[in-house]
Formats: sequence, structure tokens, C-alpha cells
Amino acid sequence: MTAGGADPHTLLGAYVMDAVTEPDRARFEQHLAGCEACQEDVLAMREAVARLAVATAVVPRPELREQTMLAASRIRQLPPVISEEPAGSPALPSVAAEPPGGTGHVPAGPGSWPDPATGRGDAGARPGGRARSRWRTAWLPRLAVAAAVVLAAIAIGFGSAMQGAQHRLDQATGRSHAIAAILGAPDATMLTARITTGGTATVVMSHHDRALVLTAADLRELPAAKAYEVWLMSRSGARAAGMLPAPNGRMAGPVVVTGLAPGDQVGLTIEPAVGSPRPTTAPILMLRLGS
Amino acid sequence: MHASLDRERVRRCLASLTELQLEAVTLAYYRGYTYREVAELLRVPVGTVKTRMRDGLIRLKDCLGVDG
Repeated sequence: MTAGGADPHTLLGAYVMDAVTEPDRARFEQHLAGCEACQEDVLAMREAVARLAVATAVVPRPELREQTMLAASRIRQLPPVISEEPAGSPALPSVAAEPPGGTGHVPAGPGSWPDPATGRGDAGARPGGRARSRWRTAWLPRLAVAAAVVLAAIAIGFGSAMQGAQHRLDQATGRSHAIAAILGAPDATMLTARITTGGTATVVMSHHDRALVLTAADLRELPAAKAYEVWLMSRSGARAAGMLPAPNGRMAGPVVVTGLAPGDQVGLTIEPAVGSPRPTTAPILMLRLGS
Repeated sequence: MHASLDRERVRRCLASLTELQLEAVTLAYYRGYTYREVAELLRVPVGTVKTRMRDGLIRLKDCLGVDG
């Protein structure tokens, strides 16, 4: 009955760290349902694990952040000819095509997306290494700042989760784990784009983990029956990637999106609050992620 | 800053785990292995790994002062 035939309670640690297989999880949750003491243990331990996540995520030291901001404002973007990296090295060829600052706000009409003509064709067409290098040079200093922004959103999420019901804690814990992994990934990169109806989306992604964290700031307020839904859009269509939680202050999110495929774009649409299986309105954000 | 204080504390608390507990927790938490995979990696019984993870997290929780 129990995992491995042992006392199911020993699974507690693995369970709160999400280090269990689905059958193990199901068995343990069955056990939990009838064990009030265990539920308390799980809650307490989750809180510890949640703090583990926040504390180990990449938080720039305040002085580092200041230095970075200062440097970012002082240092001119390098000209595009600085580097001759061989083309065909991994990561980010198509992102390179996006001019920093204005990326991705493609107010395409409802019938015209996802647009295969602009959404691809990047693979060998361009000396990607050079462009990528430029992109990185321009954006890397801001990554730390982006991480701080994302973490601020996470911290807000945690604040409410700590006082909230168990399922909120569940979500926060699982999410924070994923978020810490993405922000801490050696290849983490940051993209930002305007949302056409107002506000800004920030994406920190790891190509290696094929995952990203999306947050939004200063979104236009929606009627209660509506919400923002996140999509992964490719030539084969749109895959639902989660609802953006209602903003807490200026920030909304974070939403963790996994299972990125080459050529995917991140999209945002306004949908009924319960979510749609398919976008029903024109995207208000289309952000190309690169391969 | 709150975050850096918290981080310092967590680091201290992680250091209070035994080496074996820390190893199990790290592999599961940071590397994303399931406890069964960790058991395979370390070539120890799954029961042992489960216990290390649980005891490690209990120690972490107590050290962090989370109310149980």
C-alpha cells in the first residue's frame, strides 16, 4: 500500500520537495487526507522549503544592483561588429533579431497569428553569433535587475501564500522551486516587451531548461470576468500556458511556463477569467523566444 | 535587506544538516531528482534516502524557526 511498503510518513521530505513520482504522490496524498498531524507537518515543512527557494534564488546584492544600474546608464551599447563568434553556436539566434527595447509587441490581427513568416526563418539565415553577442552585451547587465523584479513579484506571492490556505502554499512552493531553477540557470536570459493594451511583460528564460518565468507590470485593469492568459504560440497553433494571476500592486505573476519548443513565441490574450483552451481574442503581446 | 538576511540564515541552517542529509536534499531540491533517482545515484536503499530527506528538512525547519 505505501511507497516501498514502509511507513508512508517517511515520504514527507521527498514529498514537500516535489521529489516523488506521480504514484508516490497519489499514495502519500491519500495518506495525508486521513492524517491531520501529517498535514500540519507538510505545511510547516513547505514553509521551510519555500524559504529555501526564496533565499537561494539569484538575488543581486543591493550595491550590485546600484552598480549595475549605474553601469547600464553609463555604458554605451557596443557596436554590432565586436565579435565574430562562429554562427551555429547554440542559443538565441532569433532573439538576436529583436532590437532591444521594442521587442515583440506585434499587434497582429486575430487572423494573422501565429505568423509563420515572421516567427521563423531564423536558423541559418543570419550570422547569428555576432548578433547574439550584441544582444547579450546589451541585455546581460539588466538581467540582474530583471531577476530582482521577478523576485519582488515572487516575494509578494509568498507573502500572501504564507497566510493563505494550503493550496496557495502548494502552488507557491512548487512555483518557487521552478522559478529559482530558471533564474539560477547559467544560460538565463531576459526579454521584455510592451503589452499593447498597456503594461510591460518581462520574461526570464532558460533555453537549456526550456522554461521561462513571465511577470507583467502595470497591466490595464480588467473587469472581474476577464483575465490575462499566457500562450505558447508556434506554427502549429497556440498552447495554453496558464492564467496570469491578478496583479498584486503593480506586478502580476509570476507564471512559470515549461516545455518550450524551438520557434515558440510567448503570447498574451484577454480571456474569460476561467481561461480558454484556445485564444479567443487578438494577442496583446507576442514575444519571440529564439530557438 | 530582508532577502539577504533570509539567505544568510538559510545558508547557516543548511550547514547544520549532516553531510548525507544535505546531499539528499540538494540532489532532490536543486537538481530535481526524485528520491528514487537519488537512491540509485547514491546506491543506497530508497528508505534511507527518504529518511535523510525528511530528517534534513525537519532540521532545516527547526533551524529556520518555522512553527510546526
